[in-house]
Amino acid sequence: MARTRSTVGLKGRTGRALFYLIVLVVVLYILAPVAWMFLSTIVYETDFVRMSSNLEVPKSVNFDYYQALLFPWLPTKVEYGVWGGSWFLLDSVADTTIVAVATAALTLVLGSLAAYPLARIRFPKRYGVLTFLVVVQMIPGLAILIPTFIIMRTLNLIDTFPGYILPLATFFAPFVAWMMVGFFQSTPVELEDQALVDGCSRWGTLVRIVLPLVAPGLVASAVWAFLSSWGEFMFAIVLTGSQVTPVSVVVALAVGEVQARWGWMCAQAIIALLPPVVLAVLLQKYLVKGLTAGAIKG
Amino acid sequence: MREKKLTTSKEVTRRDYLKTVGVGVAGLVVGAAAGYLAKPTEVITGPGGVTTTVTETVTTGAPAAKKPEFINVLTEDFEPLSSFVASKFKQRYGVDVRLTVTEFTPCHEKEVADMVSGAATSLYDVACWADPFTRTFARRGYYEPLDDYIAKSEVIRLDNMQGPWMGPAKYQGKIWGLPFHCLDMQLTYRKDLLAKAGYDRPPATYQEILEYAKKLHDPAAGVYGYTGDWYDDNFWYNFRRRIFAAGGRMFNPDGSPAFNSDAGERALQWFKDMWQAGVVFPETLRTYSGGVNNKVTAAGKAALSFCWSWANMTFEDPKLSVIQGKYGFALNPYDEDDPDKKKSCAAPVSEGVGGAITAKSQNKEWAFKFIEEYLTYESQLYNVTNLGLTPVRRDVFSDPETKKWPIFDLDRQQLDNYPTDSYPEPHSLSPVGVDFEIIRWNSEYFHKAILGNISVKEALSTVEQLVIDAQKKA
Amino acid sequence: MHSDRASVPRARRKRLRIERREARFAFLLLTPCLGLVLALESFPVILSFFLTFQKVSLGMAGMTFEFAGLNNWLQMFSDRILGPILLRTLYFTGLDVGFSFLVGLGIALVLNEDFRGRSLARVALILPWAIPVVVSGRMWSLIFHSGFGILNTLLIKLGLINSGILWLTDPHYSINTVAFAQIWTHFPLLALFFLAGFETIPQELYDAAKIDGASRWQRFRHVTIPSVRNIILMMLIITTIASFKVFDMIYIMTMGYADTMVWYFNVFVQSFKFLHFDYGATLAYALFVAILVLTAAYLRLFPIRER
Repeated sequence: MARTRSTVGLKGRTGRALFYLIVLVVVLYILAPVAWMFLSTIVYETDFVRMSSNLEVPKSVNFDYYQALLFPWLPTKVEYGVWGGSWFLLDSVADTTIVAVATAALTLVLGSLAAYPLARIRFPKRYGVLTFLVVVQMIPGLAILIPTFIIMRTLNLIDTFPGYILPLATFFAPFVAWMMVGFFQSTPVELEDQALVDGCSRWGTLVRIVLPLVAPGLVASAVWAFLSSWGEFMFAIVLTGSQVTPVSVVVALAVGEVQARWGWMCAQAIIALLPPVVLAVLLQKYLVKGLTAGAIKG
Repeated sequence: MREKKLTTSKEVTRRDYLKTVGVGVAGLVVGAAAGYLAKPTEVITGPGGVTTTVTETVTTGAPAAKKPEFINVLTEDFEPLSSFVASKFKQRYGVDVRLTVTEFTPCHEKEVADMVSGAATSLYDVACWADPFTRTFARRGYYEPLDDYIAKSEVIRLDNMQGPWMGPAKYQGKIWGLPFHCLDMQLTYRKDLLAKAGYDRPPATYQEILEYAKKLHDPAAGVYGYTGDWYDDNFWYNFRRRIFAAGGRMFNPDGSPAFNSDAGERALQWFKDMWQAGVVFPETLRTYSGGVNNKVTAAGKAALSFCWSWANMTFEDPKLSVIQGKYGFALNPYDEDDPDKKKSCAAPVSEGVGGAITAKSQNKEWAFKFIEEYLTYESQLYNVTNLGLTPVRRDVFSDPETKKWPIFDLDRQQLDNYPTDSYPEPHSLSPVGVDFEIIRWNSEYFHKAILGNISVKEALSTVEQLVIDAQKKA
Repeated sequence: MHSDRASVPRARRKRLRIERREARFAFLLLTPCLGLVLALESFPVILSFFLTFQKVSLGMAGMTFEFAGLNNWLQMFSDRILGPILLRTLYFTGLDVGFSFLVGLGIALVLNEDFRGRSLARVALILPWAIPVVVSGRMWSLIFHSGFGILNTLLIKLGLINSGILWLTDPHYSINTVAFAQIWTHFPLLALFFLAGFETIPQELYDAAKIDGASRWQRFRHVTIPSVRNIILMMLIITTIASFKVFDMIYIMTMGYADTMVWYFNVFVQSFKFLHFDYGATLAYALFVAILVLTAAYLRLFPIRER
């Protein structure tokens, strides 16, 4: 893998110092707000107000909010208006994980299955289908929000897992398909032809030969779909309710918002951002390679 | 030049999978261990921690309708109340309750979505209800009229409900919702700061508020003269109270806009004067959060404010407040030009929030039972002791627990002046057209006037025209 | 000879048979995806289209329709408040795309160098995109809080301003503040994309250019940019479309108040707050058509070519 050096060509001591400065500024710009939000969750409300409006260092640090949220079997009263003993956040993290994993799986299946023929087989109206998949990605979600709600309502699927996963997967599938087309096209045709000549069926070739070759693309698509469904908000408000509680709804409409407890709300936000961030960080190598490789080819 | 990149499965090796799984498992183990070993922090018992042992004297029998496995309830905020009521309900009747709790605004959106779907049954049996909801949903047949149920109820008596909060529930002669509790606001003032400035009593008129705020505003100490919440529908409540104090009204009895008047100008001008004097806490215009006043005041950052009723408890909790013992509550202000209206101007500046039954519910009688559960003496008292919310039952208002709180005491003084069953209709949105639009344009254009971007007259005229346009279309 | 000529049509028939079998296989694989997309996305879109010609009333039976011809469309063209909203949308998208691109490209160029901590920086870059938008919105609202917020506090302590700036309330600042938060969410991912693109450029091209006597800027213009041209164009389109559809951030930060109403958010307000579903559908459709036209124009002006 060839890596370019010196595209900008800043050499020498001052060059390197400037580099590190820029990198430091960018990294701080990204991490500082998150760190600040975290700070708000580990001090008392009064201390935080003083810290934020006067730069006074807080006298103590506590993890009461996290304890109330993550260990609800230990009932505590953190402060007026905030009680422990409620499983709502853990419930919603579990719900969202189920939704995200299922959506990722379904999107992967739909998308890669659709991408293979588009990449390899010359069938009539192939270009039309490709264009259709691209155009469909531009549909604004609000335009189909109410009709989707009505369809799901008619099928009695509101506030159920399938009722939320299906529309999401449908929404994400075209992008995944479009990406995977690039991946499929980058694999050498000879391997498939060889397999076919050897008597392998089309289906067998796909599963046994081609899919392993595009594994990084599959991983990237799965992670992308996972992250997109974790943070999805608009459809969540309408399609879910009491049985399925996505964490984005809980954070955005934090109960207790009326009482404006920043620390409490931000603690929920911090917990809500951990799973996708951890996943992205662990798999970021594949994610970026996958998305960009697909993009270069596409 | 075509790039050919051979991607091999070797790139995603087994080691990578194991790494990821290993990290996940390690995380779980650490988390579980931490939870097991963690000691619960000291439980704080403050004035809000009292649990009531009052039991309902009136027995409530189960309805004749077939008992469902569960009922669906959509409710706004204050989840502890709904959970409390739901557990009581479940204990009493063995019917499970599926509770969806969201903020006020998404409640509206969910009910809209439910109404629009046109399905044979509605998603919720009990739906959240508040003043702006009545006309939207009653007019379109989403709500069920409650008059018959109330007449047969042993728990709910209309003469035992606070009148001003029943008014918005009425539309075209029927009752469409019942309030469970009230979000109440009172003028709060810092006794110590007022004393230091030489004042021996809290401000009584709007004009005095402006004068006091200017004197009490202390940027060096980080104290603002005044804080309020003037955002979204909260601004609506502030404005309509002010225009009423100025001798005007929001809407005429026939529903046409009446706020583009001298009284309206006088009212909007007050907000503008307050803002332009630089004495108002900046976030007042923005945060949709009644708790901001409470938070700002509790942090010692404001000398005067309109605080929500649960201020009772937040101001005494050392984790939340630095003003223990230094604050007081005062009667709501009136306009100095109309001392005669003193009595009527001190109208409760709040709204009831409660529930309604959906017309397409399959379990209407049980839904009403659930609403009744909110209105039992026990639940109503729970509002006071644990949540700091104003009860809607008059007998609970006289309970010794309620009498302990000065903020409710003031409420009583103001409410006693009101006949049971009337409410200044001009305040309510129920008879008026355009539902949420008026609220939004209030905030949008009146804010601009307050900030000085457009004139007061222009703001009032623009909103009036928008309302008229919308009413023509509806 | 004779047998050759006879075998030609047979070979052709065999090829046609194979092609048909292939086509069937293709459609078999495509059916689940296309089927769901048609049912859950295309069908509603067509429904929305018909909705724009109706007057919608809401009642016990859900939505009832009454044919209203071009009323909604005429209303859209004569609506006074849409003019500023349109301008604001273009402004917002311009800011969003412009800055995300510039900063993203710049970061990618810098990170393309070899230095210690490079991988750490790359990990940091993935963060803003992995964090759900509602969380980012809450986070920035906290920082931009005009009363208690740390930003105002720092600015005042440093003596740069006298009193807190109303980041999210003052119409002069609000849209820029929301754009700022949105850019924070966007640019790191763009940077990563560009970085990956840069990495595919082989070193030999640069060496050859240097031998030919090309300056740094010339190297950049003639080697770097053309190689990543495809990525840049594609990301431009994708980012622009995503920017037109920004919703979550505005919902969390301002709810459209203080002059932060953009076109897409107006669709939401019209449909869900004012309950004008027909008008909302019209506005949504107009946006959809605008996006299509814009994309088509893009691709015509800057076609994505094979390298």
